Amino acid sequence: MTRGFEELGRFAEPSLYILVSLASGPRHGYAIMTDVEEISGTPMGPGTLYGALARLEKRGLIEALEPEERRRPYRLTALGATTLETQLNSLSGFVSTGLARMKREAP
Amino acid sequence: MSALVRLYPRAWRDRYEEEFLALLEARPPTVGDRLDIVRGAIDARTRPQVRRPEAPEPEPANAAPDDTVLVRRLGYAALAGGVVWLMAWSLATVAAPVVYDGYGPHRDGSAALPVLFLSVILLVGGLFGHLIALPASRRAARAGVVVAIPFLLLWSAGPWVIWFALIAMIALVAFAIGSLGTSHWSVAACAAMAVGIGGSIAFALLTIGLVNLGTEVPYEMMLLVTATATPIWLAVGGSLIRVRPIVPAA
Repeated sequence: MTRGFEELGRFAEPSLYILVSLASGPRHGYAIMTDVEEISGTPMGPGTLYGALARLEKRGLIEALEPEERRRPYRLTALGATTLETQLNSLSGFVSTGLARMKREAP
Repeated sequence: MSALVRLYPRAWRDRYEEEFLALLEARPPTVGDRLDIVRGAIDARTRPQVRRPEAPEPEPANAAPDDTVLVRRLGYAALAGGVVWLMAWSLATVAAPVVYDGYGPHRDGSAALPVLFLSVILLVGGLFGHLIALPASRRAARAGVVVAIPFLLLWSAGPWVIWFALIAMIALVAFAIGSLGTSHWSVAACAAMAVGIGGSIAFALLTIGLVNLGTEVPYEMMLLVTATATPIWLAVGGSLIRVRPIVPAA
C-alpha cells in the first residue's frame, strides 16, 4: 500500500495519512490526529503521530511553522507534495487494477 | 503525563516536548495511547530522528564502494562463524563420543578442535572487515582489532590457554568501545559484545572454579555458558552488513 515508504517501517502508513491530512493546509498535532481518525476510521496514538512527524520532517517532506501558543503547525513541502502525489497515483493504479480484475472474475 | 514524556531522549524533548504536552492536554491519553507513547519513546531512543545540535554526526565507515562488498561478505562469514562456534561446542560437549580409558568414562571432544578453529577464523575475518571499515581516526578500536586477531588465533589453537582468550577479550572491549559513534557500530552491537565477552569470562571463571573445587563441569552447563559468547560473532558480523559505501563528495 505504501511502496516507496518501506524504509519508514511501521510508520509508513501513518506517514501517508499525515501527508494526506496536510494536503488541505497546515495543521498542528491534535488537528492532524483527529483528521487522520476521520480519514482512516481508526485512532492514531500520540507516539505514532510524533514518530511519523519526526521522520517526515527529517526527510524534508513536511516542515514546521512558527508555534501558535504551544501548538506547532506543520505543512507539506514541495517534495512532500510530489511524494504524496506519486504515492496516491500508485495506489490509484493498484485500486483500478484490483477493481477491473474483480469485475472480470464476477459471474 | 510529563513522566511518560521523560522517557523520550533529550534531543527529542528539546524539539517536540511542548507541542506534545499540548496535544496530550487537548486529548487526555487512553491506556492504549500511553502504551503507544512508551513504544514511541523506545523508537525515539533506538532510531533517533532528532539530533542535539552539539551531538556529532556518526563518523561514516570508510569503506570505499569497491570494499563494501568484501566488508559485507566478511560480515556474513562472521555471522556464519557464530553458528560454527555453537557446533564446535556441541561437538566438544553433549555430542562428543563417550570414551573409556585410564581416566574412566568421559566425552572426547577433540573432534571439535578444527571446528572451533574455523569459527575463530571466521570471526577473525569479520575483524579484518572492521579494520577496512573503521575510520583511521579510531585508533583504540583499530589497535583492539590488531591485538585481538593474533590472540584469538593462538587461543583457538590451544583453547586450554585461558590467558590468550583473556587478552583477546580485553582487546575486543577496546574495539567495541572505540568503535562507538561510527555509523555501522551501534550501541546494540556494543551491548551484544558485552554479553558475549561476559559469557566468555563467566565460562572461564566457572570452569576454573569448578575444576579447582574438584567438581566436574556438567557438559550441558558448559554448552550453555559457551553459547552466551555467540553474540560476539553476531555483533562483529551484523555490524559489517550495515556498512554503506562512502559517497564521494561532489
